[in-house]
Amino acid sequence: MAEIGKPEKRRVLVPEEMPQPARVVPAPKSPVKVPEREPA
Amino acid sequence: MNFLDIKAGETIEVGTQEAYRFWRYAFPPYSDRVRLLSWVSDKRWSPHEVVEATSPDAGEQGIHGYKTMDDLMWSIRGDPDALVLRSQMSGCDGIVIGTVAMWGIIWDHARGYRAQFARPLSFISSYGNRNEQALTELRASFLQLQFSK
Repeated sequence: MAEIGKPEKRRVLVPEEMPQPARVVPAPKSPVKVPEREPA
Repeated sequence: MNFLDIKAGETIEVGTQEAYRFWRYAFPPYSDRVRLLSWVSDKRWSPHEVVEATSPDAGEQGIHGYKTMDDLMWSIRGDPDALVLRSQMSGCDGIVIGTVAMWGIIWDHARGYRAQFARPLSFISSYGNRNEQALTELRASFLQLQFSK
């Protein structure tokens, strides 16, 4: 890429929403069952 | 981004800078997916990644983009087909014109920008071999995704 002209000004931009990871771990289809504690 | 690149007293803007640019595209012989490549380097743009360049504070480094479509067309003398020939000399099939969102350190130039980070926002037109197929595939693979870094 060429010919964008002379440099004029330096800036710093921070996106409103930072890019998120593309890999998303799917939520379990059914609630996770926690085994009941055995009586002592 | 590395916040150590920010200088004392510098204003930080929230948002991104939109810019126009062109890429090369290529259909690999044994792959079904079109590849997107920078114009001046062999950097491949992936649908799943934000592109990070060498700091724009160094020389002419950074991801380049034009302020307007007129600036882009002025730069290529209004002749995208001339770029197609040059892209094909490097083994590619053609060029695609589109827009990017830029952020991080950005140097404003008279007709464009050099940025630290970028990702594609749109693909507007394409020129070269199987150009319509390239445009359709690039839109499908790049524009409905979240990006990671």
